[in-house]
Amino acid sequence: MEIPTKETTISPVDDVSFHINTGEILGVVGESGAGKSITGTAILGLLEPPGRVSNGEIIFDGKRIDNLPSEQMRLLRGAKIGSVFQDPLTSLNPLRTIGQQLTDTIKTHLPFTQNQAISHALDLLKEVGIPGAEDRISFYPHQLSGGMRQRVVIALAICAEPKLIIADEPTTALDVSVQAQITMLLRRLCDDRDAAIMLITHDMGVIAETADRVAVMYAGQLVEIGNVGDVLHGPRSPYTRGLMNAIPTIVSDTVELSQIPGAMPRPEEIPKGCPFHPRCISAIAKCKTHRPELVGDEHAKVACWLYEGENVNRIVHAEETARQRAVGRAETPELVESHAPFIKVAGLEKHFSVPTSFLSRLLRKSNRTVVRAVNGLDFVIASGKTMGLVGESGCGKSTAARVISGLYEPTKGNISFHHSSKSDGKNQNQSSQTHTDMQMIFQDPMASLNPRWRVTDIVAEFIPDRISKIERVGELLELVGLSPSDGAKYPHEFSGGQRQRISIARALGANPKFLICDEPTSALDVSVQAQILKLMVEIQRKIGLTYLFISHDLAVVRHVSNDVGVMYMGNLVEYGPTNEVFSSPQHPYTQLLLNAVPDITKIGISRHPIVGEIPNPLDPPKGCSFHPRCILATSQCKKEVPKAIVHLGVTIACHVVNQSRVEV
Amino acid sequence: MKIASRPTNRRSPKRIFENVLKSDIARSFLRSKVTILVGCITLIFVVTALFAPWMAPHNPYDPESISVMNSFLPPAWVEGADIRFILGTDPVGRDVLSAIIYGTRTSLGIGLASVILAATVGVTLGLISGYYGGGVDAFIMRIAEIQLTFPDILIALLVDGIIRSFLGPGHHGNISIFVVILAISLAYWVHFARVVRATTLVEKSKDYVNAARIAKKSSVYIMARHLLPNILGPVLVIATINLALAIVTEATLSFLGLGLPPTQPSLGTLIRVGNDYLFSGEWWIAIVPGAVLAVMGLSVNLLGDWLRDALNPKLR
Repeated sequence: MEIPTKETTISPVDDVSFHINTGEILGVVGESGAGKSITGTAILGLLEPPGRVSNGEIIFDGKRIDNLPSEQMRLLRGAKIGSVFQDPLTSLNPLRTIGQQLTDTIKTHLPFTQNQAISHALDLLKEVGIPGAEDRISFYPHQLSGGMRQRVVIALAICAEPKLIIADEPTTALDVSVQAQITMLLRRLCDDRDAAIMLITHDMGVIAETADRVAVMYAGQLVEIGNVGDVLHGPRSPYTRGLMNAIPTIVSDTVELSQIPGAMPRPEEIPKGCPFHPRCISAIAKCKTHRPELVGDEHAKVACWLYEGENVNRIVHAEETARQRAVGRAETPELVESHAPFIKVAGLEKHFSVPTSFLSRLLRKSNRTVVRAVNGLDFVIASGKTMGLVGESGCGKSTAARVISGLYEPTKGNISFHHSSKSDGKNQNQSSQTHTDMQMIFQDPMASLNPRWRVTDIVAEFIPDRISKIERVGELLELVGLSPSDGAKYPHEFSGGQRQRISIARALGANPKFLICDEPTSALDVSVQAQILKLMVEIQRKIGLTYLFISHDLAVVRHVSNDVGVMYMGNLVEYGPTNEVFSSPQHPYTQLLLNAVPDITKIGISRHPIVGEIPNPLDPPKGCSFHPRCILATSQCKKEVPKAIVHLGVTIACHVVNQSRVEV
Repeated sequence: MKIASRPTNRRSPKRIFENVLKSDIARSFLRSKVTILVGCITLIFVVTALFAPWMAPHNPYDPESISVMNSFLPPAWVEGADIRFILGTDPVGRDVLSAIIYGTRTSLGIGLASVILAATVGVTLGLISGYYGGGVDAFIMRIAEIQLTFPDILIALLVDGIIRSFLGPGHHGNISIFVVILAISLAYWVHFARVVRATTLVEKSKDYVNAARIAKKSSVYIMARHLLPNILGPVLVIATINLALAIVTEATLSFLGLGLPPTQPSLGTLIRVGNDYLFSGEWWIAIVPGAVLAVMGLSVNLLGDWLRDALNPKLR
């Protein structure tokens, strides 16, 4: 199968050629705006008019398919080409059962009767690993969890034995533990059925684990393509190299993340020559005028002028200089750093009552169903340090942030702030002190800035009145790496990363001592994430801020935090110094979570995914909330809630581990 | 969502004009011929209303210029017409064209004033309702829902009737215009309140509001500085559509004899006067103001429809 491709009108994809062999997974990787999804859509023949393939051809199974009439293409899709998209909820029709949707698709493409179709649907559900397929076949999509829904979508994609499956970010909307299950499923399908899979993702870890070959895209062009091992272990294009170094890993926290300056250009502003040259630290004159072609052998090809002639050393040299410069900057003297506790959270609980129907209130004795979003949280953050809070979605980490920030009232427990002795001298009012001392940075860079305000007004919002505001706004904008002249613009004129910088500048305007960061980089691309993380670390060094850093990304947390807490269903299951927790995780959940993170340094699947998914918070399991998914679970775990025990600086809430720890 | 042009550092008038032309709103305005047409018609009405004393050939308020001798003259293109009265005259000899020009002024003025009043009440209550939620929200919204079960015109009639019975017949002539404005705005605030409440519920959960709440900014500050600018888009749309409704409601009230007295020409009173003579051959007294009212209502309504679509990013 050969797919040399095409060019669209304002060219979000420009002259991309690649092929996928049967039984092979081609990973297409790139940051948002790289044109990877649109390439997938083009192959499916689903480009939204007026978008069209303006140049080149798509050849599938020896036949050209990009010029097929829509009716023939429709038959081809589903039968020969399957697709899996990012959001499993919108990919399924919410009004029909998964059984109906499966049998419909099966009967469209295969000459089956209703009964044959049903039995085929059952086989498919079993194949994609849905337990209790006989019951679940009559479920509606909302009755299934995210991971299960994605399995159903995959079952739909493979129902007619397609030769090619286009999977566009199939794991992005899922939690780490479920993500591992889905990538393993894709790999297995590919091997069992000898199908070709085009796996589009921004996650290098997923690529390392599942793909055979990888294509790296940038600004609508292919910059590098080759075998996974060759590309990930010896990336050649400066973009791929930068990208690889910008990804924090869970293995070590010592390596400084490298920086790719700037951000991906918009499709209408793609520069001439090599599209990457404005951000490339080793660009030469030719890069600005001439576009490089893909060159190289069977194993790996790269589009870069530096591989022509004597310029190869230039890349390594430029990277070395940049690294040294970064290290030089990092060695600025650190501010006074005390180990005194700055924030103490003790027994924090937050419960939400879920309104129940009148009837069920009559039938049950308790008139309220309570979700214990945060169920007993104890930790201390020392002044000038960073505490990381990790966990899968729904574990209560964001609720904890909101309670600590004061957006929610805690149900139980208290949060105390200890100010440095300097500010205590004046005996200021505690409540007025804490609110300016604390600021929060949010996940969504669009919703966290008022779209109707100018940047100057946004940044000035929390600056205390006595200081001359305009000067301070300029200072803050420079501190976060923007220019003071950006102040006249509105938020929508900035990219996601820049908006997050504005958010940080606004927070710093209040002269806070404590910053709560709720997933500050999860909406950003890898190279931009590295920039923001670095900025945050630099600001911490300069101003001596204390951070509470919340993220689902273990690698990011490992990179920035001194202490880390792992949350599961509202509880802190393991809490201790970052290095301890990451290098020798003890709680079974932490171990499995760390194991589930794809490792970009290892090729192929090397992990054991966690079985099952997070239980329904309305009906949590009795005893230890993790016991249904735990391999070590004993009968005690099913009855008693484990107590948190501190041993050698690490707090763990687990019957089995604590028993052995105390004995030793 | 962007209403006006993108402001830049270089703000020469020419550049601002160019930017306005380039903005999304202007582009969507120029794309549709119907929109351009109704835009022009509305503009003509507004100009006519503003400059009525200079545009009208006669002054309908000046008793000296009115002569019963000139009554029931037909429009210029009908036999027996007087060229001084292009659209003919009414039973007391007033020039119909002048009366319509002054009537447009009254109708638009009452429409605008009542929409502004309704919007102020509606936006305030909607914001409070959406932001605080709970009991306050339930109280305000129940009132709104109860009111919605009655037709708007019935509410306006009710309010009008109550105020009149309080004031007694003596004061009627002087303040009738304010009574009409109050009656219409009390009928229409609900439309604003409901939409503002819904938009507030969406906006208040956004993180920029959370940031302000963490910084312990006051509720009034958050509502006025953060929420208000972000709900003005939908408010503008309802205001335009309600302007057309308010003009028609005023005409209805006046037609029923509950709005303005016949001595103050509004489109409604003109139609009411003309209605008596509709079948006795003097059709122009009712038909011409009626047509003007229809065109005005339609134009403003279509303008509102366009604005709704232009401000809706999903339809763009």
